[in-house]
Amino acid sequence: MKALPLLRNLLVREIRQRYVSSAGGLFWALILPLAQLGIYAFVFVHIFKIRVPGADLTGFVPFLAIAFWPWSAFAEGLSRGAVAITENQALIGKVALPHHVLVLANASAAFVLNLFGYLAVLIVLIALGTTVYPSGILPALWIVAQIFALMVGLAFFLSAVQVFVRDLAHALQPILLLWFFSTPILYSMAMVPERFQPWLRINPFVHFVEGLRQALLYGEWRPATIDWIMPLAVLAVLVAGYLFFRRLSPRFEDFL
Amino acid sequence: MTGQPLIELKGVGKRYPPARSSGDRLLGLWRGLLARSPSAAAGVLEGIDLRVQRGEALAVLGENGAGKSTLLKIVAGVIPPSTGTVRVNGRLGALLALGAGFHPEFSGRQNVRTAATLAALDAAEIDARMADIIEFAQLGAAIDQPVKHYSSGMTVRLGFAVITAIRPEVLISDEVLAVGDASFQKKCIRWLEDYLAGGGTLLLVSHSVYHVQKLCRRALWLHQGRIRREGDVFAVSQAYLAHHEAKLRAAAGGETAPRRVRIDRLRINGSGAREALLIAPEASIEIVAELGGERPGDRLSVAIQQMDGALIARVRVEAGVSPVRFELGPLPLLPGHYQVEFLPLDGGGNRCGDAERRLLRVTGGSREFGSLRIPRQWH
Repeated sequence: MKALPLLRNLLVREIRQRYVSSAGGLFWALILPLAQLGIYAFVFVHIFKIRVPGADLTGFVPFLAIAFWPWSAFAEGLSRGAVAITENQALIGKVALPHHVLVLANASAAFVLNLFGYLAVLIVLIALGTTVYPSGILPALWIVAQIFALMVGLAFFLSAVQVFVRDLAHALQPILLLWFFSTPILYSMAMVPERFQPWLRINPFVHFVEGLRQALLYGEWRPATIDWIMPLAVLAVLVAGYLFFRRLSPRFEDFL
Repeated sequence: MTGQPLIELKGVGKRYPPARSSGDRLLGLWRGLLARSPSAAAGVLEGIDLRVQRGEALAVLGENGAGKSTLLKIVAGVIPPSTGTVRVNGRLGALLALGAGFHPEFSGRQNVRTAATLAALDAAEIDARMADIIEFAQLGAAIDQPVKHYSSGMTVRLGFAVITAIRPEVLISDEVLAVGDASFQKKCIRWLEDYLAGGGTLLLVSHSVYHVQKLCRRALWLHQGRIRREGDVFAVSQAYLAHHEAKLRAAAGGETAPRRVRIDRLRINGSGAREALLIAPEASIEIVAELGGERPGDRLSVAIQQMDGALIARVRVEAGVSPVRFELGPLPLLPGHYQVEFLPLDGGGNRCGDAERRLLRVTGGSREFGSLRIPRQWH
């Protein structure tokens, strides 16, 4: 009952903290992704002259952008969430508060900021002539919600383990890099040799990325079997993560 | 007072598992997951049973490292106990450490908002009380400065001001009064007295026996994680002080002096026992001292001291013939522990023998401070 206003307060605080000393403030949350978009366009389209099968219709930049920002929301949210407890140890030893709110606030702040960037990028792409299908917005939101839930579930796991095993936050970065490259964000699944494809498909993010492209870029998202299984799997991760976290949270203070 | 206690602790203990090596930490993770008790380790608290009724003010005394702060944190719900149960049936406000929960990068105002949210105030209540908080903290324009630029006094003022706005049913305060300046301390004491008069409940850790005796009626003395004594604030705080001063004395070591005159026997009110002699306030004591040695001293110095040896009063009595008999009093001493030091002096007033000491305990309770009861009349 007190968790919700607290979450809001911590969330605002976390978002403010990242921009509190910069003159541009939240403006940066929009500018940085657009700058990134421009750099990718230049490097991949004009230098690498990349050709992705399936991306011919839309061009490479929209193809990349549709998948890239949801990933970066996920990856950044997970990294921030994983250190939520160790970063707030001064608070945990001194103030009575529900610990899971700290993880939620850290992870969601990063996630939400990236979504702002995503929105800005989408608007710019539309303005530059990319067709984004309005029919895809609802499915896309549904997919983003699943990404968010998966991130929070994993962040609960990681932030709890991070208290006991401090190396985790360092190990997470290469793992996320590996995850990024094993997800068809920079490439399409069609480019992957056929014998590797089933292995790559174990990665839930493949499904998210393809779903987002189907929905927003091609306007042909239709629910398949996996779209019924995936939300349940994500929910299972979320619940398991929360239970794992709650089990360990009374011991946090002993090991901080 | 009847009814459910506001705070109830049963068999509460806190042990910290070893957390130094990564093996220890992995083991801690593993045991946490299996809900096994943490591996055996340093105990901070052991077997604490405590009931605090609504409207009570309880002081927690103890040396550094006795477990006071841990006890308060457990009551405040900041850390869970390793053993036992804790029940608190009321809205809690806690001042556990200087600036606890304040974020250094944010302004005082923003931090007040977070702290009040943590105390379950909603946005409307926070807005309504913000002016009072700022007024109480007396920070002026600094309220909009980042807390990292605050002095420790300013930080504690802000923390206390938040508490005044939360209006908790149970207030837990860990040695925070000591930081503020004199006028702010007075303001806090006044607020605490009003709070207690209005039925508030207080759990106070303070090394200031003055504050403890002023605010609390009951006290708890924690020693090495266990309750050493509990009861009336005067009895407990005096015992605690006596323990401290005895410790200081032991550390300083006994002094040596020329042994020309000995005090062979010493009886106060007929008792030669070395245990503290209980006397009523304003009572007189009768002393018989048998002196021996090379030659009788010329005088006997009798000093009434606090337990740390600080002098309250000294008298000299003629001691040409042994035994020396005399009566001292009525003694205008306030309730508490004292010691009486007997020292043989030669004709020139120099000490000429070993000192003898006896302990006195003046019984009863008093709301006055210091050692002496000063008579007064109103006109």
